[in-house]
Amino acid sequence: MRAIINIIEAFDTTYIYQNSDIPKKAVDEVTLSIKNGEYIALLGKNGSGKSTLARLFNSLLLPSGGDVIVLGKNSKDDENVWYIRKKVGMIFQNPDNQIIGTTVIEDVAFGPENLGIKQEEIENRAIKALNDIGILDLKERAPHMLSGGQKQKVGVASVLAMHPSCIIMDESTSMLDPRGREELLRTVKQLNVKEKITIINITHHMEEACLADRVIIIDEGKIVTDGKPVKVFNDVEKIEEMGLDVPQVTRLLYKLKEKGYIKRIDAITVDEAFERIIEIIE
Amino acid sequence: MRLLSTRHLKGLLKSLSKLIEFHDVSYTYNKGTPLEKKALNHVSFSVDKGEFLAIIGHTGSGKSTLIQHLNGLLKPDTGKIIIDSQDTSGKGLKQLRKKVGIVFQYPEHQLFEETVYKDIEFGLIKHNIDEPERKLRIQETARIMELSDELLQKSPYELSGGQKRRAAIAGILVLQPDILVLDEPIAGLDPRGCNELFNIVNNLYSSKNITVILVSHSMETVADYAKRIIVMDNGNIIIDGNVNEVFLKDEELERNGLSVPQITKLMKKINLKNDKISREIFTVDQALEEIISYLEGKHD
Repeated sequence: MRAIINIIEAFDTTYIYQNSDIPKKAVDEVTLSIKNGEYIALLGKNGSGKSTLARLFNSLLLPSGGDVIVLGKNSKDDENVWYIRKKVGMIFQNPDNQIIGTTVIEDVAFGPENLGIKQEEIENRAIKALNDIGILDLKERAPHMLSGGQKQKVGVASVLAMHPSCIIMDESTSMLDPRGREELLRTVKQLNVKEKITIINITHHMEEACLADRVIIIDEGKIVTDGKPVKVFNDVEKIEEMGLDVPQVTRLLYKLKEKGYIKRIDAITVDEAFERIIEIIE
Repeated sequence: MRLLSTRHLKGLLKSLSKLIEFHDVSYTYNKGTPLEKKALNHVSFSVDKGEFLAIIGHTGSGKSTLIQHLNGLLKPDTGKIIIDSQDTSGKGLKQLRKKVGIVFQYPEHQLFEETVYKDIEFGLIKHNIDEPERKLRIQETARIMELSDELLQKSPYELSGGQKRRAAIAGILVLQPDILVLDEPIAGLDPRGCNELFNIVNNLYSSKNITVILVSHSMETVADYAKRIIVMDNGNIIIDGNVNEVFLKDEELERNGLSVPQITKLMKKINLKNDKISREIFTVDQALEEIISYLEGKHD
């Protein structure tokens, strides 16, 4: 059997919201493939279509035109819907909206329970997921009493207990404090590196987007940029045109370049920017 | 004798200019139950008229509890809060709420009228402002918040994220508060929406002499706009100072689950390598100026 290299493939995928007065293509003929194990940042201004695209990836929405293929299975076929939702887990912006159980472990067990798995296996999966995320000590706690960052980690554990191949974070860090954000991102990065789980992070936080291997920008339902973060963010004018921003250190180098003090930017992190600045001040 | 009286007079003037005073304020949630949680622990501070103050702290540090005390939504268990010479535990809540406009997280979830115009008008009607005055104020506020006439006639649901947020804030500003409190105003907004919103707030701050209190997890936003920062932890104020003083304490901030702007991290690293370049840098423009002035040989 051929190994599946692409976890998600979209072919001419279009999505139209039918309930609005003027039907608008929220996703407009997108063709895209995401490789197994990639870490992707999906960016775009409010209303650009990024959340719609993500929902097409886990068959919460079905395309109005074109196809979405997840692990070789077309989301249009009814029998594939549950398989796809199991394989592509989603964590949302507001952690309070995704809590169901009265204890953390119950909450994490909820997903596998719905898959019809044996009780003993459910418990094993929930404990392993909590352990992998590093929150096994919270197991008997009431979810609504946890901090925002802890709640989001419970969200990740719940998805993990379903044994997913891909995790989509839909602005999952936007309500977290700096430490909560950092810890959640570290957790997700570990899952990507150790378990080879594909990560798609939808975010407005540009420093966060720099942690990805690949940045995809969507505007008015179309993919307008797709590439390595350093390449994408060094095109500062284009990023601004899209209503987005670049990391502060990139902006500094861009301004130094504009004024003729440096020739290239090539930096999106503190360490890279440090190298560039040292080159000109030494 | 004369010296003493001058000092006395100065002290008196100073206390007169205080717009917000917290005296030893404590507050506990679910008192007397197993879920009891002390959220504010003997907090004292004051804010002058015309300050731009940021309050930072990790989740659960007490920031939201503190701001809910500003317009009497919560009242202190012990201690006293005076807003513009009015005790928040006493009568006159309506008056107080006109003075203190609080924009909570995701304020657009509270938009409910048929049109944006009616939504902005709602608070004015509640405060018995008559029609001609309402119209004038809405026009003025819409201009400030960059909401066009066409937009005012739309349903709030037809607006983009940034427009909705601005419409919701307009509903607060139209009451002409002296103090504008913003609780995580940029969560969920794209970068352009953030910039637009803060440019408007900053204009209001400088042109209308309004006092602004910003609660945010974005250290970059805080550094770009605030003048003073209060850091909270576990119901206590642990640092209170101007932007420079606070962001120089990067290690203490990190111990408390916070951070400093990315540009400050870069400049600290450069400063450790070459101490002729200052690390007291908190915005991109300051960094640019510092590096250029070094390159132009002005540091020798």
